[in-house]
Amino acid sequence: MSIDHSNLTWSKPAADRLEWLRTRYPADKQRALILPVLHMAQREFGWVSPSVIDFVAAAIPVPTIQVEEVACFYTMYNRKPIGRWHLQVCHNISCSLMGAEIVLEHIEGKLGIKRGETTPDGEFTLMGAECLGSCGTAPMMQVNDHYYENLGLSDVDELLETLRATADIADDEANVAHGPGSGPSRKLPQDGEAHTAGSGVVLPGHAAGGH
Amino acid sequence: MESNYPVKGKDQVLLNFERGTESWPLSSYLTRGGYSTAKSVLSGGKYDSPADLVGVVKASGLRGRGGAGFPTGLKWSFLPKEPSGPIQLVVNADESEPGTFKDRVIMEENPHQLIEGCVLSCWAIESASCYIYIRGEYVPAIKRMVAAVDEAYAAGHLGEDIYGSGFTCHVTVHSGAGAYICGEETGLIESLEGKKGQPRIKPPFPAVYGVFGYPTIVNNVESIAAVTYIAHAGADSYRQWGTEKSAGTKLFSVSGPVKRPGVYEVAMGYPFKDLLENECGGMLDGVALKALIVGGSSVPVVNAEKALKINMDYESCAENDTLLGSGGVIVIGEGTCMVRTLMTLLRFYHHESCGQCTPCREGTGWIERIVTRIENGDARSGDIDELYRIADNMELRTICTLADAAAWPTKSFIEVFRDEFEAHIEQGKCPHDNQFPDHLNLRGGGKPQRHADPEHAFIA
Ligand SMILES: Cc1cc2nc3c(=O)[nH]c(=O)nc-3n(C[C@H](O)[C@H](O)[C@H](O)COP(=O)(O)O)c2cc1C
Ligand code: SF4
Ligand code: FES
Repeated sequence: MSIDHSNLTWSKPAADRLEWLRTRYPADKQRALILPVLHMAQREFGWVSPSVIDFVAAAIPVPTIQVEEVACFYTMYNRKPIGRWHLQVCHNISCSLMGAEIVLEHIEGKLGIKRGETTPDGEFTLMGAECLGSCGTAPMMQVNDHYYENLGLSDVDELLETLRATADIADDEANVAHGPGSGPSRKLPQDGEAHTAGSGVVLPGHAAGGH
Repeated sequence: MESNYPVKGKDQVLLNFERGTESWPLSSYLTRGGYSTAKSVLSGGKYDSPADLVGVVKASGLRGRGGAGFPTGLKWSFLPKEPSGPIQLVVNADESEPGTFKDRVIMEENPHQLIEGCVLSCWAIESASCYIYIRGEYVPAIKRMVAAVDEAYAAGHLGEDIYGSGFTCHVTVHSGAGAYICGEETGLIESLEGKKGQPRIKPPFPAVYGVFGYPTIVNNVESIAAVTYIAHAGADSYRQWGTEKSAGTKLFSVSGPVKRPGVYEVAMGYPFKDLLENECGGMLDGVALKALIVGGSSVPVVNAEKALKINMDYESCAENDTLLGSGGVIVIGEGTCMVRTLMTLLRFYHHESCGQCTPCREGTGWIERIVTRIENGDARSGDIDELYRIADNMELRTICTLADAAAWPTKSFIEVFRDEFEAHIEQGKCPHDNQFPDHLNLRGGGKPQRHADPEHAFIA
C-alpha cells in the first residue's frame, strides 16, 4: 500500500488537470492552486509527506513554506500515512444525540485501537470527525470518500468485514483528477451500485441515494 | 398567508424537482424551464440594466441564507461604482455549521439552478468570474457540481459571449480541505487564495477588497439558487411566501430524534410546531421534546415551551431569544444531558478556532475544559459563574464571530438549563445514568429507532 515518495511524478490525468487549473485563476495569483493541487497529490501519493510538499511547491511553483502552512492548517491533508480505510465517525451534536459515541467506542473495541490510531496491519485508521453535513442520517461515518449513514452497530460490524475483504481497486481517472478525498483514491465495493433497502449500508445523501 | 404553508411540488423555489428522479442532469433542468431566465436576461429582453435586476433582488426581500440574514440586494449595491479590478462572485458552499445539511441537497439534486443563479448574479453585479467554494468532504456534491458546470459550458450556458449576448461568465468549482472557519466569508477568501483560512479584519469589506484583492460578493448557495427564481418570477411572486421581514421560502435541515429528519422547503413564518408534527412526523415514539437549537449549533438553545412558540422566520426567532441562523434545526429529546451536549459543541469550537484572537483561542479552550470537568464530576465551586463570565468576555471582541458562536450557546445552555449544571456539581457526577437517551437501541447492537422507517433523511 505504501507509495514510494522518493521519485514523485504526476499521472497523465493529474498532469493535465494541473495545466487546466492554471487557467482558472489569475496568472499572478497562482498561489490559489495550493489547495487543489495538494488534494490531487494526496490522491496520487496517499499522504502529504515532506517530499510531497516540495513536489507540489515546485509544480505550481510557490515557496515551500506556503504549501507547508496550508498542509498544516487543514484537517483533510494527512501528514502521516493512513490506513487503507479511513474511518471518520462524526461525533458532533446531531450525531452524538443519536449515539455517535456508542459507535466510536464500538469500533475502538472491535479494532483494538483508539481514535487517532491506525491498526498495526495498516487496514484501518479511526478518527472522530466534526459535523460532516449528514446530520439527518445520524449516526454516520465517512469511509474514504463515502458516507455511511443511519448506522447501527450491526451495520458497522458488517461494513468492517466488507472493507477488510475488499481488495484495492484503482479508481477511475476522473476520480484521481477531481481532487478532494480523505486519502488515496480507492473504490469501495458499493460504488456505482444503487442502494438496496435494508442492506444497512446507505450511500451518500438522502432519498435520491445512489451516486 | 396560511394556505401557502408548506410550499409544495412545482411551486417550490429551490426543490422544484420530482423526488427520486435523476433531477441533476442538464436535460432534466431544461424540462423545468432551466436557463430560460438566463437567456432572456442576457439578451437584454427582461431587464433594462444590471441595476434593474439588483433592484428586483432588493425588492424581493431575499436575505442571505448563510446565517447572518443580510439583505442580498443591499449587499450587492455596496460594490464600488468604479471597481479597482474585475468583480468576483464567490458562492459559499462550505456548509460546516453543525446541524446544517441543506446546501448539499441543492448541489446534489439541483446543481443547474445554482449555476443559472451564478450567471444571473454575475450579470447583475457585472462580474465575469465566479468561484463555488465547496467543503472538501462533500465529494458527491463536488462531483455533481463539476459535472454540471462541464455540461453548462458544453451547452453554451457558461463561457465567453454566452448566447451571443456579449456577456462572459466563468464558473470554477474549488474545494476546501476541512476547516469550519473557511465558512466565514473572509476566511473563505483567504483559503481560496491558497492560504490558511484566517478571517481578515474588516473593513475593508470584501465588496471593496475581496478575493485576489478584487471587489467580491460572497453569497450562500441557497441565496444564489433563490436568485434564479426571483429573476424569473419577480419580487412580488417571491413575496407571496413569508412575512414582511422574512420573505420567501427557506430550506430547513432537521436532525435529532424525530421520525423523519431531513431537508424541507417551507414558507418563512411556518410554525416550528407544524414543521415538527407534519413534515417530520413528530418526535420518535416515547421521546418528548426537551430543547431546540433552531438555526445551527451557533445560535442560543431554547427550551421546549419556547420552541413550540417559534415561527420559522427572523423576527419570531429573535422574539424567542434565538436566531434563525443557517436553518439547521437540531431537535433535542428528553433524557439528553445538556452539559454533555454543550461539551460536544465546545470541543468543536475550540478545535475550529483559527487562533488569531486571544479571547477566542484561549476562551474556547477554557470553557471547553470547564464544561468537561463539570460533566466528569470534577467541578470546582464557582465554575458555572466562571464559565458564564468567560463566555461573556469572548463576545464582540474578536475578528470574526466564531468566538460569539461559541459564547452564545454556552450562555444560553447555562441560562436555560442551570439546574442541570448545578446537579452535576452537587452530585459530583453526571446525573444521567444512561449517558444516552433510551430511544437509541444501539447498545443492543441495533440502530436508532427510526431506522426501520424511513431509511433516509427526507427532502420535501
Ligand atoms: C464561523 C463562521 C462560519 C460560517 N460558515 C458559513 C457556511 O458554512 N456557509 C455559509 O454560507 N455562510 C457561513 N458563514 C456566514 C458567512 O460569513 C457569510 O455571511 C455568508 O456566506 C454570506 O452569504 P449570504 O449573505 O448569502 O448568507 C459563516 C460565518 C462564520 C462567522
Ligand atoms: S474569532 Fe476565533 S476564529 Fe475568528 S478570527 Fe478570531 S481566533 Fe479566528
Ligand atoms: S452532526 Fe454529524 S453529520 Fe452533522
